[in-house]
Amino acid sequence: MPTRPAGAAIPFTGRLTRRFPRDPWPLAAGAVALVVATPILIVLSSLATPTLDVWAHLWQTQLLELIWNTVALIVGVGAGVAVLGTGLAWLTTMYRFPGRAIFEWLLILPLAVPAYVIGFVFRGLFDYAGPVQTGLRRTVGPAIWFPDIASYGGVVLVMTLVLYPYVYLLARTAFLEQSEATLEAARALGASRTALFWRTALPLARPSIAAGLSLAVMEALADFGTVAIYGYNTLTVAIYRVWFGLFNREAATELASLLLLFTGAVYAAERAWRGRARFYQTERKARPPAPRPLTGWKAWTASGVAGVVVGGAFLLPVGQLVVWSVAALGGSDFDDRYPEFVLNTLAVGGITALLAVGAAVVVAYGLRLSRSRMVAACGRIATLGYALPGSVIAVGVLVPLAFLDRVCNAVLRTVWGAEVGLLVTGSMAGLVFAYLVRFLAISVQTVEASLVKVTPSMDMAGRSLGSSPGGVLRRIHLPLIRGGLCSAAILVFIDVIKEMPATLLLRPFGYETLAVRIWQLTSESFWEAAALPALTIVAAGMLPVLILARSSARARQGADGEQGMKGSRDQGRGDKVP
Amino acid sequence: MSLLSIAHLTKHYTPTDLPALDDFSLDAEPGEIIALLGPSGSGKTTALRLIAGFEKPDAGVVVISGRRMADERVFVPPEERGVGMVFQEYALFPHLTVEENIAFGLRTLHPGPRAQRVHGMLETVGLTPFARRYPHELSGGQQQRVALARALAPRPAVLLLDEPFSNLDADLMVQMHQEVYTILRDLGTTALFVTHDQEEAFMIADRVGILNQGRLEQLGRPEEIYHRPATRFVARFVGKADFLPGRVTEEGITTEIGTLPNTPQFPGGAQVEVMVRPDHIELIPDPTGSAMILARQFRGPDNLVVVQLPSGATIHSYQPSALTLGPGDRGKVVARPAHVVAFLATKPWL
Repeated sequence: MPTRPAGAAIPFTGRLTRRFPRDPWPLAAGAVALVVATPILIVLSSLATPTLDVWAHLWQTQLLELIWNTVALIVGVGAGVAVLGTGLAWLTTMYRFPGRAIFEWLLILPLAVPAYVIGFVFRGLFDYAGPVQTGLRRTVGPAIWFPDIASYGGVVLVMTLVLYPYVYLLARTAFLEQSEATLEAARALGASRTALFWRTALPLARPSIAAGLSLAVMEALADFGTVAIYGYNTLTVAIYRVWFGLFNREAATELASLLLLFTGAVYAAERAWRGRARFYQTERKARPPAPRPLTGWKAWTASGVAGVVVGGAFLLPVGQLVVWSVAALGGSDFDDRYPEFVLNTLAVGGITALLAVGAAVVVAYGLRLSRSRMVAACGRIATLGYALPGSVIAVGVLVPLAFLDRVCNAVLRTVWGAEVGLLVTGSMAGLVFAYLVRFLAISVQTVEASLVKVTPSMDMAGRSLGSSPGGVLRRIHLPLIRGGLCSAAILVFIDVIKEMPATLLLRPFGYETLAVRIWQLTSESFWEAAALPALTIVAAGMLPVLILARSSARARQGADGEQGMKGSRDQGRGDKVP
Repeated sequence: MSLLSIAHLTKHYTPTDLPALDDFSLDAEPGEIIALLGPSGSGKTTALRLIAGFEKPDAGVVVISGRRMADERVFVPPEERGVGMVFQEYALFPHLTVEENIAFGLRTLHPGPRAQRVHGMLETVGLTPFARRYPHELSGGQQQRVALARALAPRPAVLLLDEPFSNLDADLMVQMHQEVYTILRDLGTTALFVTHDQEEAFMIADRVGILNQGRLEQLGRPEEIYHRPATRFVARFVGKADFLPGRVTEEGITTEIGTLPNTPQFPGGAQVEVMVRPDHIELIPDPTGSAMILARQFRGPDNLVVVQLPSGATIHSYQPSALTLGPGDRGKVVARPAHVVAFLATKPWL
């Protein structure tokens, strides 16, 4: 190669010309989406081919009650988490009050507690035979009235306390990302602090709140453990009962498809509410809003509200779990297989989290690159799994896996004349696949929300500087959304170890996780015995939540001033030089 | 041979809407700086995106350095076009230092020459002491210079700049106009930049293209654009312009403010509209004059005066800063255009 004069342009190594290229990213996104969507499509297809006599029977028995209960549940929980999550986020970002710094991350902790754990602890505590009512009857008298915990109100209370952190976290991030300048501008225009919230901060945070709210509501739709423990009949409970009690697969699948309609409605609502809003932050480090001090009774009220939430959603149930666990550990019937449950749980959680983040990056980036409605539709379908109860996904997963096994065996038979039996059905692969179907939504939404904040001109700058779309992803997006990727992995991990019904149905024979164990014990009202596995899930869930809390504290710190930025930058350096 | 050659480029974003860019053609010579000027929505950014390869044209051809980048069969992706781009919001990579930003497009170079190139670019834009800073630690002007250095580092055949100065405050903007102009000239860069600011376009560009509703209305030297606008739109959009009805007679074009030579050679008897710019209108104070001052706007170096003619038509005139006349005063109006620009009247004047 002849030497090039110093001023010569860099040669372009790409092909000279090509026909309109088929971009691989949207295709890959579509492929991932399609694979993940298969079980969902199988359930959907049963909606298209309704079995009329099954529906007639359902209608005569309990269909209306089930639908009414499900609607009431998501409305109640949705309102609860929206108010609690947004309110607490506003309080902790905009005001200074005693204990704020601690409450800021304590309020994330309920994320570590599955709804069914708080559920069974509350039931154990506040039931007629529980310590609270027994104590009241003894001190006040036997006629004392106490609300029935196993009721609609009880279910909504428990789920709100568990699910509000989704809204809290996303709203908090959104409030912190709003620049002080925007808020100052609004104040200069005469907006009071209340008006500021309603007219500036809330509309700006709307996409984030909508995302958090839809996560929480879908989790409520999918919940099985809590409603089962409280005897509150929703669609998920009915599916489980019809499947296991009556072995009626058709009815279970029909009910599942009905639940899918609910999911569709929630999705449509979120997209509509988020609207076409896209809020790009050009300057990455805008000055964040400075918290104003509260004084006197206002300050103590703020601390009190935060304290009651943290106490009810975390300290009280966890404290009770500790008491029960200590009692169980001292007792004679300590479970020897306990370490095995822990390891099993960590393994499936870790593997699924990694795969889910990888798949989410492919899907989210494909969606970003493509304007095609097909790809967008694929992405939406692939993330519907979050609202599907684990038991339904299990059904949807079993069908293609059984087919795969049949194909494998047929091939092996013709090649070697031998069969291997069931390869994927009832294997770890099947279980992880079901988890992926169920939890891809979390990772995709989190990754997408981070990607949205990177302005499209970054992509164009990278491309015009010679990077392929893959290069832009690797060299620009991934470093920029590292925090989002971590959050996604943590959220998936937590949800996998909490997941109960899918694990119950798809686990390899004899493979018991902590959630499986809890179900086995609580379904027979052994609240105390279930405490240790439950406490372990809470503890395992704590670690990632602590990391999350730290990184979200750093977001505040980093935005606060030079020092924080230096810290995160040095860390960035360290990552690059191994 | 021209370095950048665009022919009949057309783009619809939605099939039913009017085209965002309609039959756009342009040739740029090596080292030439061209500005695309137009109101928002006129298609100037679409033109840049088509040239850079971020959009596929519906029709037309893009040729850069003799290589066909886009036509009905070929579409070269942006990373293979060798086109540099500077964005309105700079789009610096926040996780990379200044030198890492500049080195981003130099992956195909060996480390030695790469460091040399980065060093050279830093020197060119005067940011050597800031090499290890992060973008958020720089001022707006410095960020812009980094964006420029980053885009120029791979020695692109063409540099595209999308409203590059609109994020700067006024003082800095003037300074950056000068700096960017000097850098581009020194490096002999062929550049195409988009702006809605005509002063900016006139100051920096060799030629200016005026876009309106996706169509290139005129392409020419700034002086041509200003003094000989090809269309009514160009006349109105570039500088201030009033139009007065006129009739073509044997003496020339007769208007309310005098008869002007019929240099455009309209046929006799034709009804035309004559363009008059405020700097071509002289106002002689005269209490018996037929024109009356309606308003006066003091602008520092001069006054902008609104004058009402006997017919009721109003025209604008620049007057010296020390003008003592005010609203209600009368005077005589004389037109002294550098060039006579007129268009055939679209409708009969009432």
